[in-house]
Amino acid sequence: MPREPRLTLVLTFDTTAAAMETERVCAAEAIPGRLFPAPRQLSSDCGIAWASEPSQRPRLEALAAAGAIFPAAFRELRL
Amino acid sequence: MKKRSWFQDNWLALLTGLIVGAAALLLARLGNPGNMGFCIACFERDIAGALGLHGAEAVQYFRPEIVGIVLGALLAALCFREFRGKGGSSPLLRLILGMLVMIGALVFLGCPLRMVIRIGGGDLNALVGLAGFIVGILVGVVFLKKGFTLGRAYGQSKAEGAAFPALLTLAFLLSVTGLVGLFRSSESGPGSKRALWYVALLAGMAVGFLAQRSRFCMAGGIRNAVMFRDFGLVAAFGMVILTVLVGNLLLGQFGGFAFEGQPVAHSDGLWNFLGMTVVGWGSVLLGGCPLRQLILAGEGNTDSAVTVVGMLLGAALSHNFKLASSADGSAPGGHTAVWAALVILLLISLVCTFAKKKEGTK
Repeated sequence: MPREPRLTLVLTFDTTAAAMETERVCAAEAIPGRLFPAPRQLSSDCGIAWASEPSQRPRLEALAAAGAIFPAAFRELRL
Repeated sequence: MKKRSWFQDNWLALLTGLIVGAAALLLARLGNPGNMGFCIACFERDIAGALGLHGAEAVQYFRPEIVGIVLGALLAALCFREFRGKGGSSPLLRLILGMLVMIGALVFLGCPLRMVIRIGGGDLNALVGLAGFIVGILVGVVFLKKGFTLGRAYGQSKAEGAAFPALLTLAFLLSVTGLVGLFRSSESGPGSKRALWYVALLAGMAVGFLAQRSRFCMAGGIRNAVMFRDFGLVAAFGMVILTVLVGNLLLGQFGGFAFEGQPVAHSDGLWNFLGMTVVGWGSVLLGGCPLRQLILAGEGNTDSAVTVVGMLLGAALSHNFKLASSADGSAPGGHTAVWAALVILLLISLVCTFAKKKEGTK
């Protein structure tokens, strides 16, 4: 039976490489999450997004502010 | 709230595939070359010829389809508030990658979009090209996973983002009105085979609009299938093939599946394979296939606009130095160019993967 959608933090990117870099940085920082095909209503750019738990938003925003990752946008939606 | 079904997520991509296939059939029926209702590489090559960048008289025409695709994407981006100027991600490397992609495409004789249209038309050489395209994408994905990057893009002004669509439209208007005799136009050969300009423009706009909304991308589709087992975009290509196949059958112009005797195609398997390997590899590094580059350029992405310019230059090189194939077969110069392109792709991939890591450790 399909699971119920749950609130998810989604980071979109301008480039595929930026998405891949986020995966590596998050693995090193032990931030849970996964790459997945970006929902088309979210982004017109590289087509790959990073999904994580909304509770991780402050850590991810800090990484973005430090220039470790380069997300185009942060969104929270039910996936 | 229930989870969305696969069809709910992918219906627009499937519709785009249907419209692309139907538009390709229509344009070929109305005058475009066989199995070439749409071909980004061939049409950009024709535009390069119209601009006088190369002297191959058989392939010179300011193709309205290309202008339509960019304008359709621009319209969609404006309607849905996705137009924004951005760029600055290794523009010179993108220019070079665009050139390499075009050189590979003109050895195969078609972009990834024409590749699937050719498959739908019964051209088995395109299946060989598809195999090469997939191999190229897989190689590119390996480098992406290792850390390949062309660097981040930066926000730019709307004027910067609008410059390419505006310039293309202006040149097209000058071409179509014939007010100035600047542009060349073929009187024989593939460049002389054309649908009515306003039909081609409208078909291009419809495809551009839908492709922008559905994020249609040949390279991205295979990348998503490999990396995420997501087959939405791949199914859309299947829809293009199915539409073209059924349409050709209904129109009585399907001659069966064969290698020989296909329109604007050759059967040099190795070079069909390697040409599309270059296209697949280059497209993954660029973040999208040639069609996707046009769509992004329409959305204000100046990196993609630079890539399109690179493709125009690649077309000029291909014809000025006799690298492009013809229906008679691939050219010796094209063989050398494909090997050189593969070496350059490897160098760019290695440098942008490992040199960046080294820089990061300093």
